[in-house]
Amino acid sequence: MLSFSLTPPEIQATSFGFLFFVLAIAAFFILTTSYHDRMARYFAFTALFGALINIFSFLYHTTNNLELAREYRIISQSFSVTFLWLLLIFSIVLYEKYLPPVRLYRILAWGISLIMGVSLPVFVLDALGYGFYIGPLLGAPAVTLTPEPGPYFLFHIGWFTLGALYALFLLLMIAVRGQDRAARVMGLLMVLCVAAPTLSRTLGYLPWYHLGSTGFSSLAVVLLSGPLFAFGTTYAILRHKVFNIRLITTELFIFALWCFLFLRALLSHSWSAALPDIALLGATIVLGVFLIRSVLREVEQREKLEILAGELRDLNENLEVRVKERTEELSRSKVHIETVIESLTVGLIEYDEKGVVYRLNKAAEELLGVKRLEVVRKGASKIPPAVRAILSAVKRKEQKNVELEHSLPENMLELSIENPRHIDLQITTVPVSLEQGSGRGYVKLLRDITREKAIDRNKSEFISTAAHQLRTPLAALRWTFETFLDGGIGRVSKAQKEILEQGKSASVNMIRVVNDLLNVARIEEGRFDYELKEGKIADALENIRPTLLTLASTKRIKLDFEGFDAIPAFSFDSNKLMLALQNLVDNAIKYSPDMAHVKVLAKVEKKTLALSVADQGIGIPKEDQEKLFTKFFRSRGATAMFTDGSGLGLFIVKNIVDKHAGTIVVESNEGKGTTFTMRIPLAHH
Amino acid sequence: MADESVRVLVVEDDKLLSSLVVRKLKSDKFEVLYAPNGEDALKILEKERPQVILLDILLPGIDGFEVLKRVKQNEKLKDIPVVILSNLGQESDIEQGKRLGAIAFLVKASLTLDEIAKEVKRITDGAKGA
Repeated sequence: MLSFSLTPPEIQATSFGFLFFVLAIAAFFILTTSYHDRMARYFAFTALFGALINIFSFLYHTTNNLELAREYRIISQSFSVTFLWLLLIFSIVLYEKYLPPVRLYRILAWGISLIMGVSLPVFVLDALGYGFYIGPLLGAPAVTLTPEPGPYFLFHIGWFTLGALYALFLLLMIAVRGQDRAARVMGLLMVLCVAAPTLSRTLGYLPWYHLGSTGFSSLAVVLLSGPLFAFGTTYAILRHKVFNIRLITTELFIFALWCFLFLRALLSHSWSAALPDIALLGATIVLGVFLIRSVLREVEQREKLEILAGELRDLNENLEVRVKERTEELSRSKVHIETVIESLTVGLIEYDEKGVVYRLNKAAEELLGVKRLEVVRKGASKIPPAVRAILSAVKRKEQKNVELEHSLPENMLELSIENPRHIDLQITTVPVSLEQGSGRGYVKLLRDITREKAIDRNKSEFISTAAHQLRTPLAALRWTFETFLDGGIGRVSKAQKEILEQGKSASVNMIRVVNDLLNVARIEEGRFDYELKEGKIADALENIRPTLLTLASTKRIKLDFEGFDAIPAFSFDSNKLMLALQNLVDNAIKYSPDMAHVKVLAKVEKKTLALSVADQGIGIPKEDQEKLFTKFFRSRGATAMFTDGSGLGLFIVKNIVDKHAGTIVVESNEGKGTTFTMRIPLAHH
Repeated sequence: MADESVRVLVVEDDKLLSSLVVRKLKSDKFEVLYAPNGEDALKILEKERPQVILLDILLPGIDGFEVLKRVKQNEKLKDIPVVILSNLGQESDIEQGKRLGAIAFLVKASLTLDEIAKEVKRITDGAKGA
């Protein structure tokens, strides 16, 4: 059909038909597949209006009615207005998508569109019989390419060309200045498939002025506009990711069917002959639309499903990896804990809630002399009797043996077993939640304290022996001096007596220091045991009063005890409290001048015994008062006055007061005197 | 009572200490029996009956606690007051002495000879009074 033997009108008709077909198909495909995309929508509508221009131009050639043919031309040309609008909107929107918006460009686009809009009423007037744009049709459309152009038609053509050039400019800007490569490629493609075909299509105006009668202009339109536009359309389809083999196949099939039916209709020589084909084409188009849309939906759904499946797969794999990691971690930590427990030097026995041994480590095996296999997860009846006896001794909850020197925390007990060698164990019970199940069992920790016990005993013996060994020669010295001073061995001169007195007092001092040291050693070891007994303090005082009075008399110090008889009986350790009082009075005498007055006063203040010792001695500087009760501390004045004090007396006093839940305070003025006050609660503590 | 001499048994292994105590007690008009160890003390007690015993604890051979125990187990001797005169002084020692029946527990180094003599006198006077 396409041969140069065809007349120019035939060529033009064919070109219009072909272009309509290409544009319509493109609009259709894009609308059916990518309606959700804004760009695609503008593109599709541009194509649709292009198709409408061409179908009415095509219809122009199919009629012999001159009036109708002219109306077809007018309608065809009026669609060029809407086509240009869409083209401009598409271009400016695309420009603003890829480049920063420029106000001027938008105003220009709207301005051109607005002026172009003037053409619409003109076409309406033309259709009513005027001839502003479209003049009269002089010959049959089958031989005449176009009606005569009206006097103002050039205005329309001019604006159309201007709009097409402006669109070309905008798209070129994208192609040149696009922010990234994708934008530039998009711009270039749109230049080629939208702007270039539109411009090439303006050649279609040449025949109006009898310049395209050879048919070349029409051919150029067909050869340039069609393929370029088809290329761009295809690209748009691909670009919008509808490249799916099933969809493309469906589209091609429908396309082929339409082509076939369209060509059949086109080649029919009369309307009546073409009618069945046209009807069939319409039906095929409707069915094709549904088919393509259903395929598209299916494709989209499958894509979504695939994405979902992929995500699920990833999740699953991830989960598996994590479960595996956690399992490894768990088993590693189990092995780790087992190893730690196994290598503990402390014996460990774990019981479940029924009291059955669940775990027993190596140290426990060795300490108790039992074998794991004999006891772990075994009922009592299956354990050998000897082992059972040891285990039940360990398991015992209460502390039956009360012969312990110092009390232990509630969850601890001490136990001696023969294994066969003697072992002293300290057993701590700790409740634990079980490794398996939700029950609560308990753990017993066995510590070998055999050596500690032995050392304890040795220490105790050492203190005892040291006391004896040091005191014996000191007592001998003291008594020797006394014997001389008594005159039992013969009269001593005054000078001799003086020296003997000094010797005696030195030995007494030495005894005191030894006693203090021993007491401190015992305090530090927790062996300074307290025995609280209900009693009257006045009775206790009688044990030390003579000694203190004797001591006071050596310096002719007046020593008074007041208020003791009025104190009610209460619970205290007589020896210790008297030791404290003795220490305070000793100090008072020691650090007071001869003939001074020392007053010991007992009184009840708010259910508390206030026991004060007031002297008229050298006093204690303020800065020393805080440190007074620390071990080995001696005040400056005290050291100067009396070189051989131990610095332990007040430390011991403080300990004794503390053990009676009491307090001790000191008030002192340097050079005037010192008052120590012990306050001991009378209520049971 | 003044003319009746009071008999005291001193059990003490240290020569110097014992001589000083014995001398003091004698000068205070006590009649003194002396034993340097536990065995001798028990031998003396088979024949003699002192009014009071001054007993040291750390002794060669039979120690003071053992002597005390035997005295208190002996029907004839158990009423004799026993005063422990030792340089031990821990609570546990005092406790044990009291438990075994000692009437007093004196620490040598803490007392003058005078005080010891007075204590002995106090005890024997009390016994007589009773």
